[in-house]
Parts: sequence; structure tokens; C-alpha cells
Amino acid sequence: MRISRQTFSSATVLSAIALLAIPSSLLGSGGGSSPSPTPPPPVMELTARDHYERGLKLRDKAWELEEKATKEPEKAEKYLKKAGKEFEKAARSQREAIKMDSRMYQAYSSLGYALRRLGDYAGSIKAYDQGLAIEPRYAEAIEYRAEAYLGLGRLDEAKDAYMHLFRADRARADELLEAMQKWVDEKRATAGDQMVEDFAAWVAERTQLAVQTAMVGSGRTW
Amino acid sequence: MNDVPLILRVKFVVPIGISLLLAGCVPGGRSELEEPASVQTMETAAGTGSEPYRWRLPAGFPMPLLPSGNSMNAAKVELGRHLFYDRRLSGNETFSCASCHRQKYAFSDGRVVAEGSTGEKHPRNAMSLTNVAYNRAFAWADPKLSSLEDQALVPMLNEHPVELGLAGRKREILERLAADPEYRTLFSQAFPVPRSIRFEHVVRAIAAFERTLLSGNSAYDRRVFFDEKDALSLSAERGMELFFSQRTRCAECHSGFNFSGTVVFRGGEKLPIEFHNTGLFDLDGEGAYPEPNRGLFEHTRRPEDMGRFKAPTLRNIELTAPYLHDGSATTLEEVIETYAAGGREPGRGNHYKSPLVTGFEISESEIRDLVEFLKSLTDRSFITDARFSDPLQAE
Repeated sequence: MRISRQTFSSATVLSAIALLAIPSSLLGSGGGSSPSPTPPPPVMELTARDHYERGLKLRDKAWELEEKATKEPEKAEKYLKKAGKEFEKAARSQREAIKMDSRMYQAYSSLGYALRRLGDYAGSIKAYDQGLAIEPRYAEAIEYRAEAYLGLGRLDEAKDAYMHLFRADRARADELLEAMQKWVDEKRATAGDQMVEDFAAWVAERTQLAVQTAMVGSGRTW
Repeated sequence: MNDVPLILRVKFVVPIGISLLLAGCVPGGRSELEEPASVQTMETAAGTGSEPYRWRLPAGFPMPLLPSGNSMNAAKVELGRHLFYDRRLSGNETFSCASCHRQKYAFSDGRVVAEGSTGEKHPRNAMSLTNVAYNRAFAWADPKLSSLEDQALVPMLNEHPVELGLAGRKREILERLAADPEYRTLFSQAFPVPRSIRFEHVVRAIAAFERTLLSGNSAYDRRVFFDEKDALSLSAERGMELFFSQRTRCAECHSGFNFSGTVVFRGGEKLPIEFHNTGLFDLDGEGAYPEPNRGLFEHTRRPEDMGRFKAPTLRNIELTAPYLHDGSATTLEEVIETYAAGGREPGRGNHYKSPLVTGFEISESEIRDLVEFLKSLTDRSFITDARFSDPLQAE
């Protein structure tokens, strides 16, 4: 799974500006004859970016817990429950970020992801839709929204998303195809039907075409 | 001295300053967060100078890799198009680049071997310029030509045989161009600094135009990139399966989005150039190919490079007959039969032959299917696209 690594150098800059703005009386001049009382710590307003980054950290924590669940099957239930809690917190953080900056499409995408992992596919798709309305080229959201479509059995929309990515971002397309194959395998393991088999045939064909058209010499998307 | 100053000749200066300023502008309104790892747009601005060139990349095609000394801009491409079709760009004013690279033949010439401006025959078949922007190597077997700019000089200056016949006549050619008011305008727009018409500008503009010759709108593309189930006939579908099969191994050499040998593109890995001996000749039992068509050997003099040529793109292959480096195969069926036989007699026994050319069983109907598939790589819009056509005829 691809981890979106967002770096915000301006965060550091803004924090530094905030520190400079703190009155010197609060920092203590050291020139008085009697010791000043210890000043209360300055209250730092969290920005949309802070909430967004916090949400990403919580998501990462959830991933770590899921990994632990895989490694320690006897404690899997406990770890997965904890992971769910972290996804809930991540969703809350992203909602805060969106509240403060309604144009932050990355936060919508991360909210969509957290909701999808919590099983709220409809909420997830709504968040992705909102993010993509702001930045329609955001490939991460296109890919993950398609995975939410899979969760709801909206297969035609998932296929459309795949074709879109296949034309423009092969790495994302390949990831989505992998998720589609996983979905097929899971459905077949429980209760496969004709719809699943039709989709399985489509996935098999697209897998073959993906191999045939693999970009020679490409270690990444372009 | 290979430049003709424009400053004395141009009576007015095109107001390029405004477009230069605009080209430097960054669209505002974006959050301070980093740019998304976005889906590539089909049109992307690139280059500096005049109005940026807007790429129209076919679906699934990567962004071409540009050389450091020749960025793209719309004026340069337009100038290049004019030069590409201009017969004044040959010594005797009878030939242009387009004489051997004709749009209706997907920018090849339909001849067995190319013919120069003096009627001299070239030893090899003119290559198609389809998707030449992605070429890792140019010409049939020249490992030293690594850019379109370098390649463009070959037909211009070649003397054995004479092609465009410009050797020793660069200044004369530049004076011809500078005498034309339209060219003075086109050059000043494409190359605002320095304000002179230089031979290197001619070369860069032609290369820039050639890079725009992108072709990826075939029935195959509609089938694969747009999921149009009925884009290919049943025969072509069967042919596609054969093409990618382990039996024929066509895709081992003609691979990727360009159905060709090694390609280069932005963000792609720089892979070695591949050349193949396909078992066409063995004149002396030692693997010899006929002079001067000995492939990579002509450049390296290493015996193992005898008869090694690069695998050209198969896109638009239907339009570029005859085939092979010497134009010795008239039809696609003949090419397939040659590969099915593991080469030609006695070349198939050539001990420098590629291990990929082992021969394979194929029925007549399967050959028809394979040919149908190859024909599905034809992009009719490419040969009618006005952007690539002769500007004088268009006017």
C-alpha cells in the first residue's frame, strides 16, 4: 500500500513566526531584581495543516496496529479494535482540518480513507467526491474512491476509475487492480455469483493487458 | 560562421515580451500544500520562450524526455514544421525532410530504400518518424546518435550518399531562409535570443517538430486504453494473443507502449540500446551481412555486432511498407514468415543471430490474424492531422 508522504515546510516557518510573536515579558527578560513568576505556556492555535498531519500520524498508527495483528494472530482482535479507534481519531482530525480549510482536498481524501477503513463506504465516497471536486486530478483519491466503490459493489464505477488511472497513472492503476483481484478472491470465498464472475473475468483480462503494456524501463509512474 | 544576423534584416520586432512574462506566471489559488501526485493531464505545458507547447499525449504515453539544450515552445515547433517541409533546405532545392518522411506513409517514404536529392540511393529503408520522441537510438543501427538533433544533421550533411546535400552550404541555406520575411518572423519568435538565424536553430526547430509526431489513436489503443470491446475484430484479437504469446515472442523485441525497442521518457530508466541480428544473411558462413548494411558492426567493427539492427516501432506498420532495414520484405506476411522460419536461408544459421529468433509454427490463418492485429496499430488520425501537415499546402 502506498503511503502518501506530505511534507509541509511552511509548517515549521509558521511555528517559528508564532514563537517570535510571543511577548518578551512572557519569555522573561532576566533584567529584574526579583524573579518573575513562571509564565503560563503560550496557547498555540492548531492550524488546518496541523490537524491534517495529526490525522496522518493516527492513520499510520492504525496501520502499525494492523501489522501487529498480522504478526500476532492470538492478539489480532485486540490490535484491530485499537486500530479502529485510531482510524476514528484520524477521521476526527481530518474533519477538523476541513473545518478550518474547506479547500484542503488532501484532508478530504484522508477522511475518505479513514471512513472506508471503518466500513463507512457511503461517507467515504462522499469525502472523496468533495476532495475531487476541488482537485479532480488527485490520483490517490481516484484510486481509493474506487476501492470504496468495490466495498459497495458499484463495480462499473470502479472499472471506470481503473480505466482512467490506466491511461494516466499506471502505478495507481496497478494498485487498484490488485485491490480488485483481492475483492474477487474474497467474494468467491464467501458467496460468489454471476456478477462476481463477470467482474473476475474483466479483472483477469485487464491483468493480462496490464502485463502486455507494462512500461519497459519504468520504475515509477510518469 | 553559420548564422545570419536578423538585426539588420528584421524591420519590426515581434512583441514577445508579454508572452515571456505570461509563460513565467504560476497559477494562483493553490493551497500551500504540495502538488498532488496527480493524474497526468492529456495536455501539458512545457518549455520556455514563446507560448509553451501544449503536448497532446495519447492515452498511456509518458512525457517525452527533452534534451537540455532544446526546450519546446509553440513557435519553435511551428518553425520546425515549416522547415521540415521546405525544399529550400536541400542543396538543389528539390528535397525536404518530408521527401523521405511523408505523412501519408506515417512519415516514411514507401520506397525500398530512400533516395537523396541528387537521386543517389541510400542503402537502407527510410524509417518512420512515428513517436520518434521516445527513441533511445536513431537510424537503424547507429549507437552514437542519441538525440533527434544529432540525427537531423545526418541527412543534411551526409555525402555518401548525398541526402539533403547541405554539406559545405550551410551559409547559403541560412541566407535563403533569411531572405524570406515569413522565416524572419518565425525564427525571431522561436529563438528570440540571439536575434540571428543560425544553423543550430534550424536543427533544433526541426527536432522540436519531430518530437510532436505522436501517434497513439489506433483501434488497439481504443481496445486497451478505453476498454472498447469491439474496437478489434475477432481476427485481430486472436492476432493480439499470438503477438504476445511465448510461441511467436514478437513482444520480446517490439514492446511497451511504442511496440519498439528501448525507449526513453521522463522518469524512465535509461536502458541500454538493443540491436538484433535476425538471421537475414550469412554471406560467408562466418555471419557476414552485405556491405554497407552490416548493422552495428559498421560502427563498432566487433564481429558479434554483425547484422544487428534495432527493432523499430510497429505502430502504423501497415503504412510503412516495404519492411526490414533494407526494404527487402514487401508485405507483413512475408516478414512474419521470415521470423517463423527463424530467418532466411542461409542467414538463419548465422551464428550471430539473436537467440530470440528461433522460429515458430504458425498456420496461414494465424498469419492473417497476426497481420490483422498489426493493422490494428494503424492510427489514421496521425496521417491526417493538420498539425503535422505541410503548412504551405494548408495555407
